[in-house]
Amino acid sequence: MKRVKVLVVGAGVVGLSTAVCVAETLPYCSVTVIAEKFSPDTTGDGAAGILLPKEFPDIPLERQKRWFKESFDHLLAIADSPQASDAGVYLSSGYHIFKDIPCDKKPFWSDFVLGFRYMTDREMKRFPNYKFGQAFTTLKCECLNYLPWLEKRLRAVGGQIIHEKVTDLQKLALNYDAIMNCSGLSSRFLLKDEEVYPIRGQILKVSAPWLKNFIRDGDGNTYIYPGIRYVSIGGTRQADDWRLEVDKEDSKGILERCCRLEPSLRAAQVMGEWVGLRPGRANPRVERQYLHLQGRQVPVVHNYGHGGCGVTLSWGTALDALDLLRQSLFEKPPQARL
Amino acid sequence: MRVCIIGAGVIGLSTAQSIYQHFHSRISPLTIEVYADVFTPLTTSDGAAGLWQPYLYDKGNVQETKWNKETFDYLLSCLSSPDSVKMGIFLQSGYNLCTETAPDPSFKDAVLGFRQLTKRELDMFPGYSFGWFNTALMIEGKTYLPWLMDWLKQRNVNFHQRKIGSFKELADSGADVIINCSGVRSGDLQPDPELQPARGQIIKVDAPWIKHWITTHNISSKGDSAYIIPGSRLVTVGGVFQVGNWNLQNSSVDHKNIWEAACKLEPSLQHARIVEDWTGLRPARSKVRLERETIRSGPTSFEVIHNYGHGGFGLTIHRGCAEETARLFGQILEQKRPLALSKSRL
Repeated sequence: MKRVKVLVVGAGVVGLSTAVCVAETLPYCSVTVIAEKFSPDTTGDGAAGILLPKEFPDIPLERQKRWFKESFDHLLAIADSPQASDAGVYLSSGYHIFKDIPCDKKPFWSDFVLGFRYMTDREMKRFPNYKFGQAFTTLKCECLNYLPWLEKRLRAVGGQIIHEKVTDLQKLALNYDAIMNCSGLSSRFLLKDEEVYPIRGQILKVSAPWLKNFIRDGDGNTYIYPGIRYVSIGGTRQADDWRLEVDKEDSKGILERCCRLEPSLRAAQVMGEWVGLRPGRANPRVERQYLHLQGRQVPVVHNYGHGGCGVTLSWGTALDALDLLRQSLFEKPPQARL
Repeated sequence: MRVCIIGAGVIGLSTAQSIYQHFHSRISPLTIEVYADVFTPLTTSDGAAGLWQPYLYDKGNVQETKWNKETFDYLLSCLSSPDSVKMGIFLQSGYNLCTETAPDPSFKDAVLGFRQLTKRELDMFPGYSFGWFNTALMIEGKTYLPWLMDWLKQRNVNFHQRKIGSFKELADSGADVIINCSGVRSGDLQPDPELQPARGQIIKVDAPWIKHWITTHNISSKGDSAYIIPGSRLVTVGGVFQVGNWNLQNSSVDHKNIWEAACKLEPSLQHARIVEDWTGLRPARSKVRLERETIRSGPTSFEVIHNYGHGGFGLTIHRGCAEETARLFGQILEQKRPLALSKSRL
């Protein structure tokens, strides 16, 4: 069987996960990743990397459950192995607190994290302005470690890397048998998908090594995530905001809100600030399309638009994308394989 | 009133603090002095990982369970103070692993969010079939002791570096009350066959991705149990519990055994950088000795309050015992008061 040339566009957490999935599972595929940005310059590199999904409106719940469960189980196995420190994957316990009791006290993912329960009255005492809370253990996956580790895995099975910005998918499709589009926010330009929009997020990196548990306000705007090198405190969720520069007013607001939740942060030193643009979309797009060129049908598997859930759903959506690729290779073999 | 405290570990220093807090406005002058041959960072309290956790079962010592809980509640209230980081106090969650089903531990109501481990959680720890998860407090001796010393120095408590040979020595120099917080070497001051060293060795490791403590309990076989306890900077890996062993030197055999057991528990440790080993002697006793003793010395007598024998739970129980010691001190004051009126004690 002649080798199937697969091109993965994008080297963020979704792109590299997809590339590794394909390269490790389909030995007859040769995988090339092409992207402008690599770690430490991808969106995921600044993200805290806590595995915590949200519910998307239009994707069947069973599929969303599968996406999260597969991502969680995959990363849990890494956390439980000697590879954990290299990969930057480890367990993280903490509190998810709500100022008002949410309609959904037990979200769909509560079965997939570890030890999910409601917070006790004594635990809630620390947060006087909050009425309800969930306590559980999830995973933290730090892209600064994880992406280089994935890259190593990719190269170990013969994967190739090209450092280049993609502006024309049609042109690339001439030289490949299949394309996996994991270009995140750039899909807006690459595919002219107007449904993709930035959701700007700013965080502060703080030195507070005595903090071990995460705290997240259910509204998603205030959180404290202890990491390997620093504690990430945040945040902001500014839709359609393309600014990559640090906003000092945002920093002030973040510090105020986080110090209220965790007073010991007042003793912490701020090490830096970071801004990232989440690839927002009503729903992640994980589906297959065909590009028709010069008599060939080139399958394009899309895997983008994960919003703030890139790390959280990376492996599960990569597996889905792999399945879509596999289907297309057996349904409509591209001319290059004859 | 001159109070002399022997010992500057967590027990000695916190006892000085409690006595000051309860009596400095009631007695004037109140002179508090601390005598010790070893100060932070070289005390037993300094080397301990600092996890607040009593032994699983109190064997009927309900007083100790009460003192443990009192300490937890006290430290929890300090968490929200601006001093919490300077005191070395913070919350940390973790796993208590057992080789077989066990009754709930004595501390289940003191800690936060106590619950049994789920099957998926136990799957992460082969060899352990049962256990609990809870959020507890950490009190790091290397930070807490200097904070306590500062607190005491600001209130004119004096420190003297010297080894005390006998209670009489201090009594003869004018001490009104002596408080014995000399830990594992109390036997040098007054023989106590119930007091023995329980040697522990630990390995300090750089592994900042580990955010939970893990302690193991081999219910049927007593003795050495592995534990991994992250601190604010390094992770403390242990443990051995060698009763009767006075050797303060690090043992390479212990190091190997501790390391192997820990790596089995937490595979990610294999790539962690080992920083140093440390050995300490837990002042083990059947139960804490916290009581008054009147010692006759010729025609006179002097008062001693013993506060030692806290085993591996000194940090865990310190505040409760300090407060109890202050209470016993109050009793002594009540008895001396009639004399105080007739004799000038200045």
